[in-house]
Amino acid sequence: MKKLVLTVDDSAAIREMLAYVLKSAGHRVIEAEDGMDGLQKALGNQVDLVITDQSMPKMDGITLVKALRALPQYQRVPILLLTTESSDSMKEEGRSAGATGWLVKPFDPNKLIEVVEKVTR
Amino acid sequence: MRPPQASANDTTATGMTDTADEDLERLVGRAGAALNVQCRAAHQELEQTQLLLAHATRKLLDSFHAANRELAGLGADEAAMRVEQNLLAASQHLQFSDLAGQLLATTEQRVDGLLLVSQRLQELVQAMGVPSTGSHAQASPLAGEKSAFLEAIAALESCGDSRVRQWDTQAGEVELF
Repeated sequence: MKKLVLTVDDSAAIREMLAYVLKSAGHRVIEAEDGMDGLQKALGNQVDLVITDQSMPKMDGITLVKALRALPQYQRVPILLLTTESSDSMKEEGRSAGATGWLVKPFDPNKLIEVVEKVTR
Repeated sequence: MRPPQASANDTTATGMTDTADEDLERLVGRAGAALNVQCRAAHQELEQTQLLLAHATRKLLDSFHAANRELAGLGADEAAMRVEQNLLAASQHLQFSDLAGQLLATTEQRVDGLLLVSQRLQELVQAMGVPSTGSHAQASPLAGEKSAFLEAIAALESCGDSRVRQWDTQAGEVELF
């Protein structure tokens, strides 16, 4: 089952590599450059999965997770944080905000596809 | 850095202290100036590195996408599959431009902090060389310069650690909650 995935990252390289890997697995992708842009695009499209960076201008990833979880249509949609941050305290903050999982950059393309299949099943 | 108060019968010692303090002021002033010049150079070199990294990354991404488009026009033979596997592997390594960019940005913040400290240090040393006049200056000599210097030190001390922990090109961990 192919999914509509929203990717949120201020780095063009990360956005483009996410799009390449997800599209190569047959998924459709919407890209956003920061948390605010991501929230607007999530409101305009009912996506099946959100993959977001943590540290971004305008709105960070954990704030985006909280904002999405406050919306009825995104309470059950999986949200993955993809970030360079790997401290236990940050992970706990992400988990408490409602994130589904935590991926540390750089992502392994094959592993990413596995995770996407698993959380959107 | 101001000469200590001396008693009336301690003129010889005071003279020696004045000379030593003037030497110390010159030394600190020279250190501040050198620090300032080197921090400015480091700031420029970091900007240059970021620019080169951004341009090179853009060109690599464009070449990557062009190769992927070419691949789409080929059949699904063994050679095409090998190319596809190589592109997939490249998609992991191309992400390092983001990590390197974050490291450079953190380093730039540190250099900017050092630059500000060196500027405030120079201002403080220059003010120390100017004889104070007027009652206000007597009441709080160099207060403005000291305050600005302390603020610059506090800003430098507040530079946080880089979020990038990687020391190799391995993929990061995955944790599902």
